[in-house]
Amino acid sequence: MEITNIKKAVLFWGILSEEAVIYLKEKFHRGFVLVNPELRPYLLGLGWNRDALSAAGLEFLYCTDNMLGHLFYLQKIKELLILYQEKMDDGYLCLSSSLYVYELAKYHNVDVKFAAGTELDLDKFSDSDASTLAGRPMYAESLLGEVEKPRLDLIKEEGDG
Amino acid sequence: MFNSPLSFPVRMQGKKILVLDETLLPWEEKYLEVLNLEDALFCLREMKTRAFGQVLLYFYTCQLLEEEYQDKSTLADLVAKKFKATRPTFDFFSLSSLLKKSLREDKPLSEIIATFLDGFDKARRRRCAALAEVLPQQSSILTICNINGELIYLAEALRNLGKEYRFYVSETRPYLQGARLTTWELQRAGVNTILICDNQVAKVMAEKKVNAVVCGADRANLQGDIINKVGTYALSCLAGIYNIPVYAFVQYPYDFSIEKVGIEERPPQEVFMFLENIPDKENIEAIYPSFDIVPQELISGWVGLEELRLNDKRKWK
Repeated sequence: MEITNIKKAVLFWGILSEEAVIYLKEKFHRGFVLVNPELRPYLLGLGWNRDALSAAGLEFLYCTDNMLGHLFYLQKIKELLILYQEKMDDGYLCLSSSLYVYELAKYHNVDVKFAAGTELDLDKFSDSDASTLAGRPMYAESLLGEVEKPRLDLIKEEGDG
Repeated sequence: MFNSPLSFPVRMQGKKILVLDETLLPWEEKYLEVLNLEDALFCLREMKTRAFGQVLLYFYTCQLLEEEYQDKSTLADLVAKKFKATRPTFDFFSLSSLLKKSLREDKPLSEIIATFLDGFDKARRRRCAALAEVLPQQSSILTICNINGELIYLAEALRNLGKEYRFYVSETRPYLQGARLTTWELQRAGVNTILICDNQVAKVMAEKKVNAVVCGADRANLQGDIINKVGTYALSCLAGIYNIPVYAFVQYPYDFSIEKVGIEERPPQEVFMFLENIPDKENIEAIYPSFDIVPQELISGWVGLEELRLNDKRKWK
């Protein structure tokens, strides 16, 4: 699909749950393109989330996380659905880097919704940071330097869509 | 300080051009031989070189074909046209204009190009020194993609001023230029680097781990809008939200409408680069815009070859 052919899209971020898939199915049938991001380092977009959408018979559009800004800029994304790990008193505990898409959505006045995601043990994924890709160590240690470990993000409820 | 091979990733050697195959870095440092225009276009199409490498490749391809064309202006335009058809986002016609201006000096192309590139490299070092002046005493710089050795020049300039520095490098999926090229060259130069996933940039900004963003620009207009590697727009928006300055290295800005530039969409299967073990990926519908647009209001300063221009109208949260 060429980007110009995307009329309206919903972006989701986190680990899909059954309820979230039902919600996205309804969006899909209303003509929304489902944007399924790669979600580094875990590659959920090519693993868990891809499987969940495919099992529900839902087509999706895959891209890497750094391409999402361009889609926001072009006003293709009309809604962001964040799948949280835990509801806290003062917000949502979300998958690492949810702040990235949350802030971009707010900046572009895109509606943000929260829903419970599936709880998975992230330590069991073959990638835990930027040093590996699909379980493969990418760089010799002598060339790597430090690597920042992803951690969960707390997103405050204030200003939710 | 160590000089990165990426500072000059394309070189002329006798009657052939040597192109550093950036797709193999950091695992292998291999040079491809370019003997004709088709070879040069192959290197462009297959992303063997990019950014400053494609500038060098343009000039050296003109030099390589010099004997075949009596009219050097025609040659400069022809090569620009072919290059532009292969990499539409980059403005090769600005390079042909530069070259045609120099042709009036009635010197051989090799001499014109050598003089130009020498001047260009000196200007790169000067602009890094100018940027180092405005960066904080303890600089923690976030960057994306690769700026062909200029971050090493910048580190050197910061060190000369007695400033401390470290670099956070956004890995830059799917080609991983940040991780493969920038981390590699900075590490080899002994510069403190921290590699992050592209989606971690908001987190490091929110935690105040970085105090400046430095990026390149494949194109820039006179208003200050730029086009750079995809991900730069998100980085710049987030930097605005977290009140962090964004400095863009620009060269030869001119008057054009940024919205009219076609953003190159690479073949979708290229988005799965380095993901050989993902099953049935050929059945996944994907997009791959390889660049994005950053409007001038998100940029704090343009680090040009002749001046560092600060933006007093930058949009803050």
